Amino acid sequence: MGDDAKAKEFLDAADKRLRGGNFFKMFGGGSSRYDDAASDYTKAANLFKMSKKWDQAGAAFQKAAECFLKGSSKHDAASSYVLAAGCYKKGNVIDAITCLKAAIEYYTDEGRFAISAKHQKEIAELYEAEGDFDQAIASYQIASDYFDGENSTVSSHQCLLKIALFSAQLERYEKSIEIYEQVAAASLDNNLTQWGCKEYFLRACLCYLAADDVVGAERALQRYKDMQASFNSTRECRLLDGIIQACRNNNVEDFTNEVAEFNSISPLDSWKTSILLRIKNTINRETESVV
Amino acid sequence: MSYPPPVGDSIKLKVQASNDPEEAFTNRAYLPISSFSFLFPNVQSNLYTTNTNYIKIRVGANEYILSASPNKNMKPDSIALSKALRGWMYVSNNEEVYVEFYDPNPNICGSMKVSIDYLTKGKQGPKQDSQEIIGKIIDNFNSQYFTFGQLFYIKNSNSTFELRVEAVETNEVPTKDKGWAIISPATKIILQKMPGSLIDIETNGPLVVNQIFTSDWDFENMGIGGLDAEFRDIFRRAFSSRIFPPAIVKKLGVNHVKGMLLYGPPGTGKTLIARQIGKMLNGREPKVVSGPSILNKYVGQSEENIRMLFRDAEIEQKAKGDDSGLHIIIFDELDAICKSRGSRQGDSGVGDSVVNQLLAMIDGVESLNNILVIGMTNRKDMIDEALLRPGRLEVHVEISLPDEHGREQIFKIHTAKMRDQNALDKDVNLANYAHTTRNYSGAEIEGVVKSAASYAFSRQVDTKNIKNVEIKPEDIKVCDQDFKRAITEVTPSFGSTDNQFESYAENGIINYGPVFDKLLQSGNAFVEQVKKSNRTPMMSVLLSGRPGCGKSSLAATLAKSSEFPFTRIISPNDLLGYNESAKASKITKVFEDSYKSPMSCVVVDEIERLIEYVPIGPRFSNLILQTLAVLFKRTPPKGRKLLVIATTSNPDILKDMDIMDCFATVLSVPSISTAKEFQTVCFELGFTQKEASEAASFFTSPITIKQIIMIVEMARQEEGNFIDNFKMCLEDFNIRNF
Repeated sequence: MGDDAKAKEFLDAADKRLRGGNFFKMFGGGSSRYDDAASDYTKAANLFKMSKKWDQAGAAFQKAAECFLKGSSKHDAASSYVLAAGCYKKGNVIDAITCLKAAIEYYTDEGRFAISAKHQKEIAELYEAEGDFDQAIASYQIASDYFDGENSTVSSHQCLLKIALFSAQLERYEKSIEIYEQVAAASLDNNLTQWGCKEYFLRACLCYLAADDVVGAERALQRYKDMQASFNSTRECRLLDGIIQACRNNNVEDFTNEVAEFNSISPLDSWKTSILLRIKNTINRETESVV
Repeated sequence: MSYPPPVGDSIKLKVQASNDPEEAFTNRAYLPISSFSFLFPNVQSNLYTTNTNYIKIRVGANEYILSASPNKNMKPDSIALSKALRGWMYVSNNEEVYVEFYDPNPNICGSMKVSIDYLTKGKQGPKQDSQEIIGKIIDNFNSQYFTFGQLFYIKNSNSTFELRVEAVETNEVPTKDKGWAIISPATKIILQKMPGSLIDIETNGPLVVNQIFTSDWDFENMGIGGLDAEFRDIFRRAFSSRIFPPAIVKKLGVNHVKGMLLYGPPGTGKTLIARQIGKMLNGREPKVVSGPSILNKYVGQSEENIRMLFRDAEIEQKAKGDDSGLHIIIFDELDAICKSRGSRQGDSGVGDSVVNQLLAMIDGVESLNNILVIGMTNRKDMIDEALLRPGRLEVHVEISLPDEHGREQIFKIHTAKMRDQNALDKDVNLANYAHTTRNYSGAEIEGVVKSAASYAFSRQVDTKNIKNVEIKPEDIKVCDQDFKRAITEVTPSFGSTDNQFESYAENGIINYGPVFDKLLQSGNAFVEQVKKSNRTPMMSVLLSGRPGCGKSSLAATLAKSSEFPFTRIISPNDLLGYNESAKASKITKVFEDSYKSPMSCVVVDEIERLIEYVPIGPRFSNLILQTLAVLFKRTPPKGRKLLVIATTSNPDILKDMDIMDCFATVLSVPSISTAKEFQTVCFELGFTQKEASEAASFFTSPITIKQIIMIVEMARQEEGNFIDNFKMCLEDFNIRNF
């Protein structure tokens, strides 16, 4: 209980310092006043944090950040915004995002793209958790661009793959395919990452099929086989060969058999399951899709 | 890869899926109205849905001609193609294609061949009316362009069908756009099933002969000597119906022959026929399994092996139905697995279920129509009879011992290489050998050739110094003498057994007078009758007489002089120590074997010994008696002739046993009953003329030849005057006998 009351005291003290305004300004150094206030706000925020009052803690950090800004110590302001976002995250996503964006603004001004990319990714993850895939995609795209600018290819790819994942869920298969092919092509040259390519190829091909484009899938698969010779002998490739044939023959049983066989060795994740379900719907026996 | 954009008024459009299923069934490309009016500025809206607005689509280097229609709700710069069209053009969604106006060239289609299947492959449904489908093609696609390989959809009675153009033929040779033709109501549409399709439809295409035989196949090159007739039989029964298309055979309601049994003595070419059948067939290799290899130590595994043999056929039958190819399964030594059920004693019946499995596979509830099972055996009598009925192994072809013509062919086959290499001497006369090698089987003839070659080889080898071999290949010549020696060396298993006969007439036959002459004559008459007459294929003669009167010798001499290819003696000597049923089956075996030869003579020596008759009791073996009674009367198979000569020294018993009726004639072999005969016999036994007439004066009562010989030999052992000794011995003998 003590924490709460103490925090409020600090808040009041900080507010008072700011209100003191002009009077202090005349006598004391202008910036130190803001520094002190910010320090008080920070203390209050920490105390709120201890008593798990996340919203209040966030608000206090935010105020601290504003004070730092006024006191023109931008670096501290950005750190405070990040801390504020950390607290807001627990309940108030919108404010958390606003704080992160403020912090990113500062970091990009400073040219610290690595850290802004990290925070941008955090924003995207928040949107993702909220289920706002459009915003998440946009944020991941920015994060990916920042990472790319810093030459952290792996992180950039991670963001791109997320975009591909959501795009496919939003039935924007074209975008997904583009990303998977791009990532796969970039990963091929690297001894470490080339083993992940089969997964990207599989996903890209599934996207073609989900878009009911059998010819596209077949051509893509051929292309992938040419790109990576060892892909030919993978189980992924066999699965694709099998289900492309099944789609061509409009044969649901063959399709389910192929999938079940694959699943028995490497279990399918939820994304693949949902995409495969969509593909299965395109080869419905009763309606016999012809379009 | 990128191609330069074509020149002219073409527009670049992005491919997308059809807007709705109805569009897909029209086989037209759909364009947004802006693009459509750009390509067809003069087409009025009432002509939007006709098939006469042609466009040319370029995908990469390929060009396609389609009819086009506008659709108001499409995105600009897009073109909607159905799944069939995209599959045919091999173009994926969002791919860019170039589209231009196409000025039609009137290539009117005379006939178009189309194959059909359900869109959902492997689907089965009610029978489809082909006329209705053809009508729909004409109605829906009138004045559209078609070309080889094009895919399109049609809806009929709630099912969607995928059709593929197999061929288009134009009435006139087109000036441009070869291979493309416009469908008109006059076009003849030929409908056929897609390979592997299960669609039930009456196709109207030309009937195709099933190509089950390889094209360069003919009887001559097969290397099956002397089996032409059998092979023609096999062909007619098992293969001729399969040459016709399934539709025709179905119309006649004929089921194909599913099984065939080749039987006959060993070495006559059954396996060879099976091997050749495999060679003459197109494509699928027949599965050749020897019976015993099916068996497995685990219970149930043998049945599983049988099922495995039929699995391929089953899968193809399910997939293709009547169009399935022919699966041939050849069982060598079928008797190993298909013994009559319940015939084995001390058996748990495990083997019986193999038979059951085979029965079920060939003609069970879920019977296959695409199999031909060929069983081969030399024990047809042991095969379970359920397997032999029509519907299962219904065609029984006997592969018997080759005739003279066949033997010559076989000789030719086996000496073909020698002749090519010029290793046959000029005096070699194959026709002659074919004549002498009666009852030789194919394998035995091969043995003769091998043996003859071995003589030729051995001439090159100095046996005293085996290391000193000078090989002069051009000197290896197989000559007439080699063949003759080889023929005496290799004896046929179904030939005559000369040694045995010689032991029966060790001292030859003594013609002691007119009585004997008559006997010999009538014996020979029977032999001639069997040889010449077609009405009496079976002759049985009984020789009766006192023991030692020369019945057996006479029988053996008759048999030997008859020159029948197959001669056998059944004598109690050879059956010593066997039990009753073993004896019976041995006797039966000899008769069964005789049926395999065109002409045979069986001598049954001392019937009363064979049936184990003893006067005290009296006792005898009824089993053997009945066996003999049946065998003596049984007529051999068509074309086979048999002479049975039986001997007995106790005809009264035989009469009581009711076996006399089995014989056509009874010849009684008398003892020596006159002094004149006695004199002749003595003379033949080495007496001088004087001694013989003196000896004849001692003759008092009938005596058998054997007894005379014994007395003569006894007298020769004694010292002193031979004639006195002879007289003494004879008197002694008479006293002992009476």
